[in-house]
Amino acid sequence: MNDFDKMTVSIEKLQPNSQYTIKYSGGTVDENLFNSINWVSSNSLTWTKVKAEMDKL
Amino acid sequence: MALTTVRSTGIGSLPAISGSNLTSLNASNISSGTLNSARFSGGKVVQFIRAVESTTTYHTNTSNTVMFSGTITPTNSNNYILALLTITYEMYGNNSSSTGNANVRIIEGSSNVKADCEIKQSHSANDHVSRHIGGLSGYWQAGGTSELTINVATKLVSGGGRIGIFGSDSNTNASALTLMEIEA
Repeated sequence: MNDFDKMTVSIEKLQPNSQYTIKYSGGTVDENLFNSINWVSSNSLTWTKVKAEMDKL
Repeated sequence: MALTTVRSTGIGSLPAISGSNLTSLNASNISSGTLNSARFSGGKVVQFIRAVESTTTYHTNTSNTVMFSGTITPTNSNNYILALLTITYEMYGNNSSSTGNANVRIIEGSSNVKADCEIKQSHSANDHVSRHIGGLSGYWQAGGTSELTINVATKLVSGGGRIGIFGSDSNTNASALTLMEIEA
């Protein structure tokens, strides 16, 4: 599982059935990438929360 | 008055006169110049458009999400539009019960679905990823001469999973939409 997978898995775990679009063609998974997410459903997650969950995987 | 005989002695070319009565002209003898496409019979390709996905994009949406588009303006409302999609994509479960199962669609405008296929994977665990190539086509009468926007869209069958469409930024076989106007 790469960092991008970890990020989407963490989002799903913390905020199930979230709907969003994200452009990603490789590279660093960081706060900038997280903030580029185009949320279709409402979002209350922060990068800090998501990163903490990613680190558990 | 039509000519009945042409004597070639002393002349290098025919005069500029009507050739409407000429028969047995072999197309193999047309060796230069440009033949107007109007001389071809029905079924010819009038125009060709190719749109390539430039940016790899993922989503988790259960509603139609446009990934990329192409536009074509038919020259005749009776002509047909042939849309050919080649798609490279990734499906991902995101958790132990979700899948990346999704519909891939060719849609004219915002909602006129011209082709639709549900893609499925049998696994759902969040460390299972599958990548595929596929194709989809649509063929329909243009019905007008206004510019048409042809969208490539995907939608997850149910929430939780993820689907991604590869673009030219990360894959040499980027997803692409080929649009052709075919004369009726």
